[in-house]
Amino acid sequence: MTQENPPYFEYTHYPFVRPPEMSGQRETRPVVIVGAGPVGLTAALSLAHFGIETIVLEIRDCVSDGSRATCISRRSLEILDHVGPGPAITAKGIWWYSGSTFFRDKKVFSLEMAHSNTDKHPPFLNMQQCVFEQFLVDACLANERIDLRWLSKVIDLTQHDEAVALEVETPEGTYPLEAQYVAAADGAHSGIRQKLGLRFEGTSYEGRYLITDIELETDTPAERRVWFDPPSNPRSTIIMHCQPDNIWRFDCQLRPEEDEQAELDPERLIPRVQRHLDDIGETGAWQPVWSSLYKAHCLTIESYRHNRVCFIGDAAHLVPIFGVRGLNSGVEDAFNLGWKLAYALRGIGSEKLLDSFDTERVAATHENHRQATKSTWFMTPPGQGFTLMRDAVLSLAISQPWVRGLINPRQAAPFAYTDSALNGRDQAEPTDGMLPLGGVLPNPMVRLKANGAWTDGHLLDVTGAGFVGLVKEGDPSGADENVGAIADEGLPVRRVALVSDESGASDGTAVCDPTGALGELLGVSSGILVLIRPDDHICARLVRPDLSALRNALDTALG
Amino acid sequence: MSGKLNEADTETLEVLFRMLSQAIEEAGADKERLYLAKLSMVMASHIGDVDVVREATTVALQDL
Ligand SMILES: Cc1cc2nc3c(=O)[nH]c(=O)nc-3n(C[C@H](O)[C@H](O)[C@H](O)COP(=O)(O)OP(=O)(O)OC[C@H]3O[C@@H](n4cnc5c(N)ncnc54)[C@H](O)[C@@H]3O)c2cc1C
Repeated sequence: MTQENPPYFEYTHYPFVRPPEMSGQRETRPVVIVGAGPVGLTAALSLAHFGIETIVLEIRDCVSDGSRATCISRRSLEILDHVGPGPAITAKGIWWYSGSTFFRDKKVFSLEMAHSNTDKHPPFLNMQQCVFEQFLVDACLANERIDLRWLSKVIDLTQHDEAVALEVETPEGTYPLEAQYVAAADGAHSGIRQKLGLRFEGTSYEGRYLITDIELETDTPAERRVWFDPPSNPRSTIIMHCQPDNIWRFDCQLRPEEDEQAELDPERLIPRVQRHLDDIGETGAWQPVWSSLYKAHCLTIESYRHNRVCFIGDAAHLVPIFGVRGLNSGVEDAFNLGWKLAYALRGIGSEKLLDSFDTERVAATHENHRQATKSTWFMTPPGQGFTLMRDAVLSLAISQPWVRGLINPRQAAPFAYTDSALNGRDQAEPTDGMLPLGGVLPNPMVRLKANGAWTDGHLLDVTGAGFVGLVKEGDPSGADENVGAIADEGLPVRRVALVSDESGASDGTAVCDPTGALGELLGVSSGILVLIRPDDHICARLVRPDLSALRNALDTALG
Repeated sequence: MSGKLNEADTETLEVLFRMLSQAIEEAGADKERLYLAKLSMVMASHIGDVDVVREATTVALQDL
């Protein structure tokens, strides 16, 4: 049953195209990205968004095979909106907001994710990884700053003071390639990681999951469903997720005594799935389309920047699938690296920005691992004590609400860079509920003024390739005037004004905040300016800043 | 015992001993593991003091 490519998706196979380097061209490229998985492709789109040309090298001639990531986070969608393919992905994927957890035949936990019908994105969106990647590939192919080279395998890499030398193997022979920087997005088995002698450290879990995509006729609404010790598969755990085009993801934990190869056999796999579908009342026709095996890992290299080589995505870290943090954290890595590498290459920021990529993203991985470790207590208990206490908690949860917090699947959430070296001092007095420095802007629906006209939009529509200085319109303290003045000096910052009603806006970009709730959340009030990074994270809150205070905050944020 | 764990007087201990024994009997041999685990979770949560519970886990691990 495990075919060459999953049948629910029409694969495009791209040809190898001879690059100029094979005809003797020797030009040092700004950035080469190794690997056209979701993370490498997002890095290419991010760098293009910030004005940098890239070459992407990929062994394969098409997007990846089936049954990998399903759940795309809201933060990933926001990033993809900035760099291109977000809207098309958001339109194609399945939006979902809730989850149910069962123990044996009883429901023990409901997950409800906050959302409103004015949101631009769902909290999570489901889509097969290959479908997702194809949107990114299409966007890369349409982008003249990106040179995507299929059937091109990096077989050697050497770092020099001024550049990185790569050796690329193709169907027509090998060629050398030089780049100022390399983004290693070559996945879990990263050859570049091995070449640099870097080691994954952390924990690998014994529990094995059988991952199967099935095509199923049903009207069952999309949500995340988990069954612990279900009657259909006692002592196992099953997760089900809905994907587009009637495809359902069915993850089933194997019991310790089960042989994984034997269980992949359709003769055993089909009845296993059938028992569960019978149990949950699915009567529609179904067939398996793809299956594979999975084991959870919490692994990372110690640091993601090694001179001119930066690691992103699975090449840098592996996170268990249960909190859907793998691809999603990789997309955040790529966007974080994208603006910093672009600013460093364009001479706007210092090279120290790349160190902040390292520290910020390593901190994010540690947080992802902290959360994921807690989810493995339930999804793949690391020992007999954990298994027993998990069952105890699930059994208690039937009647005891206080224990249910332990069952929360701890889904991916955007990471706040609260300890970042790019943050200035928080000069305002942050109140509870105010976004901390390092936090990412929310994306509520707002009325926006751009190019002289008011339209409906969302807050993140105001952030672009530069920094934003957010102030109260006509702030008498000078904050408003001064941010305009440093923008005129050529510093990469734009003024955006918050107004309480639409008639109060002067020229330039404005956001209407009629209730004042947004100002309160961001800490923008009279006399206060909030500085927002190109990746939507806030990095300074300044009280009555004069020109030099503003320049200092920008200096800090630029490394 | 030492640290933060309090000791009850013998009379109270007798009541507790009997109560726990009877509850485990009631759970039955095939459910006693699960029952004891649930009970420990309820009691640990009720105590709510991590140090006290840690000490209790250590005391009970001795001489198994
Ligand atoms: C069953 C399963 C379910 C998952 N579910 C989720 C989920 O719901 N949400 C989520 O966020 N994550 C999920 N993940 C994780 C997610 O799939 C990965 O985190 C993601 O694919 C990582 O992307 P990447 O681009 O870093 O690496 P990859 O996708 O592995 O891409 C690396 C690319 O580099 C290429 N390459 C390797 N070496 C070279 C070389 N030397 N030269 C040129 N090219 C090279 C490879 O061919 C490959 O295309 C899941 C994973 C699995 C297995």
